Amino acid sequence: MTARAQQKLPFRQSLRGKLLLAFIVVALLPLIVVGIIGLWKAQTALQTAAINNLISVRDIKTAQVESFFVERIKDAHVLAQNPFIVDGMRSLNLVVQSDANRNGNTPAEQMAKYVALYQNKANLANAKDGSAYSALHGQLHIYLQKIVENYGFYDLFLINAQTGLVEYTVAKGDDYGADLKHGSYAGTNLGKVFQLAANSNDPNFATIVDFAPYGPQHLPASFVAAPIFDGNGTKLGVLVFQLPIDEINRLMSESHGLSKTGETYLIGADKLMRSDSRFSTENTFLKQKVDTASANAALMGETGVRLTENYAGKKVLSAYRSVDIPGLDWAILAEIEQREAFSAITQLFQFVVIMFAIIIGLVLGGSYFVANQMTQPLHVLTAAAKRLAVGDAALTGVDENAAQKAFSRRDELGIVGHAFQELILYFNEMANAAQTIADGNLAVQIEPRSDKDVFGIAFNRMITDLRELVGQVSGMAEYVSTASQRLTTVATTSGQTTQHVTDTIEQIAEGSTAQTNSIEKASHTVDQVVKAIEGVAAGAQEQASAANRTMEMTQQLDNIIQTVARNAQQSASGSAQAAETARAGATTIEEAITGMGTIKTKVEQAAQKIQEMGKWSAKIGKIVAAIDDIASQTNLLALNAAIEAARTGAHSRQQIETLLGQLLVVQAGLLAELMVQREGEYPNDYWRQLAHATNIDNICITDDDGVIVFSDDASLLGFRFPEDPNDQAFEFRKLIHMSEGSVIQSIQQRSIDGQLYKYVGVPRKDKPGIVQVGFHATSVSQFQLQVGGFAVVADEVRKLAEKSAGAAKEIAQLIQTIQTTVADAVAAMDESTREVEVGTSLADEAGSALQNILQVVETVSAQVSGIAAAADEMRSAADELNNSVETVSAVIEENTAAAEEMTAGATAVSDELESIVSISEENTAIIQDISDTAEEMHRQVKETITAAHSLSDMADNLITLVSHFHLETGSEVLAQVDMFRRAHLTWVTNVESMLAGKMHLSEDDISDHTACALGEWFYGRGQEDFGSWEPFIALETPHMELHRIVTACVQAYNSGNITKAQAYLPQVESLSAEIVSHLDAMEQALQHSE
Amino acid sequence: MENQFVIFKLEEEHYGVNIVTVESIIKVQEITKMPHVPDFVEGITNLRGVVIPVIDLRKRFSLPQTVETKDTRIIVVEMNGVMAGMVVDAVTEVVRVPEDNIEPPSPMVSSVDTAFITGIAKVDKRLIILLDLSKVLTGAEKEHLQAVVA
Repeated sequence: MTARAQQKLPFRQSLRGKLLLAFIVVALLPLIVVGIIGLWKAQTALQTAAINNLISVRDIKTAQVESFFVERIKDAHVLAQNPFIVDGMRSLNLVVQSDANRNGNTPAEQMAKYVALYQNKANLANAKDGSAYSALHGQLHIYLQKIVENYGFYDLFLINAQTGLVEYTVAKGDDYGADLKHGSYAGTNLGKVFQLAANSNDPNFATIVDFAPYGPQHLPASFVAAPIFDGNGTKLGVLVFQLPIDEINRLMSESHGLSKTGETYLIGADKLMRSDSRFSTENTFLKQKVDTASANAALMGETGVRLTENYAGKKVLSAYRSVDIPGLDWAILAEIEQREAFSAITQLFQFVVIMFAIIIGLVLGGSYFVANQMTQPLHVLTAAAKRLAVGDAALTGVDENAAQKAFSRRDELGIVGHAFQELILYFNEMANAAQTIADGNLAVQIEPRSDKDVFGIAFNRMITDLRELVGQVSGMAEYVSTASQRLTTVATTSGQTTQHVTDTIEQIAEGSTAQTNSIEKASHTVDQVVKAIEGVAAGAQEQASAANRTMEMTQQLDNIIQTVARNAQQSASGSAQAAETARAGATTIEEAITGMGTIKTKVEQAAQKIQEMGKWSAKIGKIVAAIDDIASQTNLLALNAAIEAARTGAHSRQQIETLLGQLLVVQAGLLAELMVQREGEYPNDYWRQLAHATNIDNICITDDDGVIVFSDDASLLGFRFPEDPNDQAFEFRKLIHMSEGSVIQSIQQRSIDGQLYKYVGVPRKDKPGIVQVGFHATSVSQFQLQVGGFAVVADEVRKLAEKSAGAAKEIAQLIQTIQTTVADAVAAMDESTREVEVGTSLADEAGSALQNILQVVETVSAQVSGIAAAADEMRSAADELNNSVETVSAVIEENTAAAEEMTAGATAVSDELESIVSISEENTAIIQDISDTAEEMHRQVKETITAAHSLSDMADNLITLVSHFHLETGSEVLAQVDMFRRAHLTWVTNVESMLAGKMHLSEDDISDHTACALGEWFYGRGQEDFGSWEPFIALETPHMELHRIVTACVQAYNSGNITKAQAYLPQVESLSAEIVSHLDAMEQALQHSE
Repeated sequence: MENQFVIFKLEEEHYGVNIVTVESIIKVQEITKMPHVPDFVEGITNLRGVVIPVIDLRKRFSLPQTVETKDTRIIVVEMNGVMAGMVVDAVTEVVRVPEDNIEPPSPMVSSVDTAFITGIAKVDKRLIILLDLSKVLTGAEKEHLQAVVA
């Protein structure tokens, strides 16, 4: 397991982290992009909207203000032309003048009197002082008061244009009766406007003056003035009215579209406000100075919008422009605090930020949840896989509920989980199987999941192999055990037997030694007797023995010779046979050699022939080359012939015609001559014959008029040669009166029937006329064809040459093939010749070798024959010798018979004794040998027993080991039963051996009844498999008893109580037998059940 | 009217020459190389006592050079009174071609360089390029040629 797998993955590398990141990126990236773009767009749009709003407000207000002032100026103009006012003005001037005149006052003094009457009494129409002024005032005031009220003016003035006296006002303020030319009011706004209007002679003039502080309270006042003319154009006075500021303030303070912080205000050229601020509780009119960037720009005549600070130092969005009113240099500003103007943007931004925060929160939460949902099962799977990787199929430490949840999902992870569960199941199954096998139970069966289930298949194979192996081992062990048991028994028996034999032999040896001794003594005595007798017999005996020896020798010789003779004969016949065989072989080989020789000769002949053939074919090749060459030459010649023919043909076509023409001229001449010679009638038939005879196609003879009178062709008779010089036949006419000359025409269509003819003409010689002969075109071409025919022939020749060249090529190819084949054949022949030569030489060698053998064999045969003959001779000689010796021997025998008989008795006795001694000595030696051998054997038997014992132990151990493997129920029992049986039978022999003193047993040697092989099985697997089986249960008691008894027996024996120990023996035997019988019963039952 | 043409081979193409313009056809014989002659003039040879220049048509037609074979021939033609030999790969036959089977050369291919092509003849489905060998050489080249034998 790598360190990485053990560690917790860093968040960024983990699937959860990646999923989270992916979700966030996928969800938020577009959101952010869209948000930013939307925000930006919205901001721009909102900004534009705010600005546009401000501009429209500004422009509306401008329009309103402008129209207001224009209206007022128009009002002044209209009022100044009002006939009532014109009359009023004229009357006022007259009244003031007349009253002054009457009272002897100046008009100003007179006005002061009126002022005293009317000042500050705005509602007084007629003071009823009886003055004309009052009468007029009464009429005017009612009307003008109405006008002021209706127009909304502050005041209305009627001023004398000449005197500059304010002759009438509606409001009757301080300015009533003032002298605007010279008085204190001359410098006021009113004075200024009066002077402007009074100086104008334009009846349509009207003007306005800017606001300025005016009157006792220095309130802002603006005046509009227009001069009043009478119908004659005389300037009577000036109409002035004071504009109210309320209307302007009302216009400016109208806050529609300006929300909370927006305001519009007017400023004059002095940068003082011309309207009251909406936000100021005090009047700002002509008080508040506006010296801001936008105000300055507006006064400069610019129009625009800008972000700037207003007069109060606040950040505002300011829209400004100048106001177009004649006489006023004003500007208008519409301003709204930037904070409010762009509050929608700020709100939108805040909203977007909040939405972003909410969406991010949702996305984070959602993606964390989804990522968790996906990675949780993976964590569980990983944990499970890790456990599985360390072999823990029980998945220790893995939350089962979580795992179950992960595995039971219905998505892909669920499928993976399910597959994983199957894997765990598989793993568990395999682990259980392995566990079972580890426990020694090989009966487990594993079904491979598929043919690709390497693990399962291997497992299965392993179990099968193991089962087979253990079965085999078990069988082998059993076999070994039985065999070693048997060996032990046999060895023990044979040990005992050899012991017995050894003992017996030793006894015999002792006896035989004694016997030998006594016999030797007797023998010695007899020897002495014999010696005496021998002295007597010696002479005769020597003679007899000499004869005997001679006879024996001759007999032996005879035997030898006979053997030799027989052998010789045999070998002679053998060698004769060999010689015969060799000879036959030699003959065969000789025949073979001869055959080979013949073949060789034949082959050589054939090779020679073929080589000759090769040479010939080479020659033929040369011939073919020559043919080819000739063919090529012929071809060339043919081509040249064709060329020559063609050239000649072309060349001579003209010549032929010339020639033909000349020929015809000659023939025509001959005809002319003929006609001179043969006067008279010439029938057409004559000409035809003549034409036929001379090969001329047409003959025509004319009279002196050029008319054909004779012709072989009757149809031409009467034809007259035309006199038209353009006619082709005209030429011939020329000949009529000539004595010499000829006309030769080339082939052309004759005029009479259009046939192609070549005509030649000569003058007649007998009288004027023409002799004309013609050749038909076919005749001409035949003529030419004869020359052309040569070309045809040449072509044929060329074709023939080509053919022959082709044939020659084919032949050359064929011959080349033959040459190759022949070369191959020659090579093959050479090869076979060589092989035949080798064969021949080999056969020769074999023949000579055989010959040699034959010679040798014959030599041997001859020699053997010689030997045989010699042997035969020798034999007969020996026979003869034998006979003579026998004769001598017979005499000697007779001589010695007596002595022999004498000595015979003694010798016989001595011999007997001697032989007895020797025999008994031999006997003793043999017995000693036997004894030694028996001893050795005994020792070996003991070793064998020991070995057999250890072998038996090993076999038992093996069986015990094998028995741990549970092959099939009962099978291991069958394997072990025999061992159990033996183990408990052994106790009988062991106890017997102990009691016989041949074996030492200690209590430790005797195991507890649960610890011996049977006990281990009985209380272990046996209990599991056969716990309730009767034959099995029956086994327990005797087994326990046996162990107890044997232990007691050994204890008794070792404590010296041999008698008591011996008393146990029958019990041991019977218990052992009982156990064995139970085991037998079990075995039988199990075998049957199998 | 029929015309006879001597058909010869160059590379794999068949060419035809009007038989009347051909003097004779000979096997390749010893050609004596000459110094300072145009590239396409192989040399001179002795034709029955007359010395004639030999022109390699392969060179003249800018075809690759090949080894002389037993089929190689020299076509002897007369060019403005001068006899000249043209070396060709093989002379195969003499054919008669009816006038109807002769097409004039395509205007596409007729230029100064191909002025010697007089037509295309169809003979047994084969197309044979008909040449006027006397026009194979330009005027200047012919003068050269006359200088060679003079």
